[in-house]
Amino acid sequence: MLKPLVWVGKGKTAQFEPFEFVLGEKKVRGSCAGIGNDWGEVINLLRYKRIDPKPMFSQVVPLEDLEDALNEQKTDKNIVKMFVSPEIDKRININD
Amino acid sequence: MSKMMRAQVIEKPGKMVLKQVPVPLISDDEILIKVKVCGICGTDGKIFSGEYAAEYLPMTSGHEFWGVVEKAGKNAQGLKVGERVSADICLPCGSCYFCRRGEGLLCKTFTQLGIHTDGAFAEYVKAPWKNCYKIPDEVDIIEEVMKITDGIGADYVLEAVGKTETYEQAFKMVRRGGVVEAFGVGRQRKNGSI
Repeated sequence: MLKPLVWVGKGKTAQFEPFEFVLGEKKVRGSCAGIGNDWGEVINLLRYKRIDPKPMFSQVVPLEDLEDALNEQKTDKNIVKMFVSPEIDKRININD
Repeated sequence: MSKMMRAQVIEKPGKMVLKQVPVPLISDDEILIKVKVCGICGTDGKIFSGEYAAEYLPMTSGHEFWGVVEKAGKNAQGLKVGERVSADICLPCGSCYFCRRGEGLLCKTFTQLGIHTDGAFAEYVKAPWKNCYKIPDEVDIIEEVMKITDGIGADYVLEAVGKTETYEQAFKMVRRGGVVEAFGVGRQRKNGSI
């Protein structure tokens, strides 16, 4: 099974044993972002309900709550995905 | 005086201030978008803490957004005021070796909207019109297939997503005697992979 492991941060380093890397024929690949028609393809998958990200949605918060939400997202393990809307003044829980 | 809006401005690492700032002015090649929703990404936390792109502060972050077109620059094609849009946030230079090969992510002067330029934790955000993608209404794919095949179903269905639900969709779409070709990788053993 393919098990991608992605965790980066400026100034962070990782170590590995060259033996394990070479003898294990491991491959390392970097990836930065989606670009161009990746957007169009994802929108199509959503349009035809081929993918459903909603189970990952946790909460929509007002613009005023952004800083709190950033902290909560870091510390509360029950939160998966949070959104901000400048058009609401109360938080909206999704999937409750 | 220019029109003002609310925006969360990261003034320096660890300091975020909700303030009134001018609504972005657009060029002929840009779209002004009234933000409806913007997702919070891990990168937003790193920008706030100063771990990433700190040299671009002060700025407003937020790059996972959708909204409605408020104003379209005169060169914008196929985008009308009031339409729902999202945007590719990548802003490669467009003319270097990599950009000319269609590999914009490798562009050395590559920047991203909401990471290196003002983003969507605000009432409005601007984006180049060529980066904008219209958000269509949701469609029931089985109804669509039945409509275009006069209620018979498709001869062939290619299934590449590989989830239980999408296999079920594929079987509903195919006509009696039709073929479902499945390929791809099943992430879990309970899903078929052919």
